Amino acid sequence: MQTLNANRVRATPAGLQARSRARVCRVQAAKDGKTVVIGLAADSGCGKSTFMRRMTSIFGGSAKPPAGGNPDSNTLISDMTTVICLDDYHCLDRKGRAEKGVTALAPEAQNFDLMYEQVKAMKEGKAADKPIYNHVTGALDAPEKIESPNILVIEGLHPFYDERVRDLLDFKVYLDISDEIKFAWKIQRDMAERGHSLDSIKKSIEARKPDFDAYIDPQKKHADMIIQVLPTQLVPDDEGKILRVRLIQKEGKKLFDPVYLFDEGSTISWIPCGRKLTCSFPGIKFYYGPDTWYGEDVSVLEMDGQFDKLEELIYVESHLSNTSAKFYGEITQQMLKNSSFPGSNNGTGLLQTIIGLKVREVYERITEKEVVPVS
Amino acid sequence: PEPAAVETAIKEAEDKCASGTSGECAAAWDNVEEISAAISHKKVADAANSDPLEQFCDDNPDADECRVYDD
Repeated sequence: MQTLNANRVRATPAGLQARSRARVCRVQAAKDGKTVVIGLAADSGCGKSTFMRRMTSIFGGSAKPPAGGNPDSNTLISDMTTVICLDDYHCLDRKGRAEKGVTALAPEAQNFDLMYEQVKAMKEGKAADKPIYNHVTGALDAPEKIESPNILVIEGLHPFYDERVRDLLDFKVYLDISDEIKFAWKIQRDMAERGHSLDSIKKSIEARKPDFDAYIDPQKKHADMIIQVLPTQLVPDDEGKILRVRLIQKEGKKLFDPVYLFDEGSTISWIPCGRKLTCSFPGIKFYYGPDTWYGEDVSVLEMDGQFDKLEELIYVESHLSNTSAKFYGEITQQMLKNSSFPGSNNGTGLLQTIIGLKVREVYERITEKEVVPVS
Repeated sequence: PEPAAVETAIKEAEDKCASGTSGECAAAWDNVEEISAAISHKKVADAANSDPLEQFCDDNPDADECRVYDD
C-alpha cells in the first residue's frame, strides 16, 4: 500500500491515463500475421501457472481473462501473449469421464482433432471459437472467440501427445516433477483443505499414476527444454523444502542456444558461497555439463539449494552465458519483480526465468522483430 | 467450487475404489485432484486481488487517491 501511494505522489499532472494503461504499453511489436506457438506440458499442481506468470511477465503487461466473457474462462490474454489451457479440448466432461471410468489424463478424454484445427488456425492468423472446460462445474461451456496473438502458449497435459499438434509448436517445454516433490507440493497445497488428509493425497497421486506414466510422462522426450525438480542432495530433506532443479537443454537447435556456466561444453561443479555470496546452511551448489536425453545431446544446468538474498543472484547471473538477457542483470531484475511467486529463492524460479528469456529469443528469431525489454 | 466439494469428492472416490472398477476408481481420484487444483488456483487469484485500494481504483480511476500521471 505504501509503495502505491509513493507512486501517486511522484506523479505530475499532464494527462490522466487509465491506471492499467499507465503501467503497461512497453512492447513494440504489433501483430502482423506471424504467430509463434509455444507448448508447456506438466501435470496438475506442478507449477504451470507460476511458470506462465513468469514467462508472460517478460513481455510486460498483465495477463487477464477475456473481458466480459465467461467468468470461468481458462484463457489469459496480454498485449503479446495469449495462454490457452488444453483442458478446454476435453471431449468428455467430468460426468462423462466418471461414467466411462477414464481420467482427464487419458487420450480418450481429449479432442485432438479440434485441438489441431484450432491451434493451426491461430498460427495462420485466424480467430478460433474455442470451447471452455469449466473447472468449477466440470462441464463444457459455450465457446469463446480467441483472436490470433503474437505468441500463442498452449499449456496442459497433452501439448506434445498428438504428432500434428506437436509439429505446429515452435518451442516445447516440459515440467518434470519427481514423485517425492509432487507429493510434498500437494501436501502444501491441499492439507489445510477440509476433507483432505495425507492418505487422500497419497491415494489420489497413486490412482492417477498409471495414466500419468502411460500418456503424460513420455511426452518429455519431445521437449526442447525440460525443468526437472528433484529432492536436494545437500542435506537429508523429507519435506521437499530444498530443491535440486535441473534445466535440460537440447543442443543444435536453430531457434535457441543453451545457457552455460563458465565454459561451454565442460563439466563444472561450482559452489558460489563465500565472500561474495551469503549462503546459510545448506548452501548452494551449481552443476553444468553435457549429457544425453532419450538419445539426443543436451546440456544440463543444475542448481541445488536456495538463496537467502535475492539481490545476490546477480553474482550467479554474471557467471552464466547465453542467457538471452538484453542487459546485465535482467534475470535478477525479473526475479525481484516477481519475488512473491513460489520458487523465487531457488532453482525453479531462476531456470523458469531463463526459459522465459529463451521464449523471447525464439520469437525474435522467427519474426525478426525486436521485443523491448520490460523493467 | 465450495470447500465442501473436495470432501464429497474424496468420499465418492473411496466408495468407488471399494466397489467399482479400477477405471472408475482412478477417474474419481482424478476428480478430487481437479477440484483441489481449482480451489488452489482460486486462492492465488483472490490473494492477487486482495488490496482494497487496488480494488477501489479499478472501479474509480479518476478518484483523487487513484490518479496516476504518466509524466
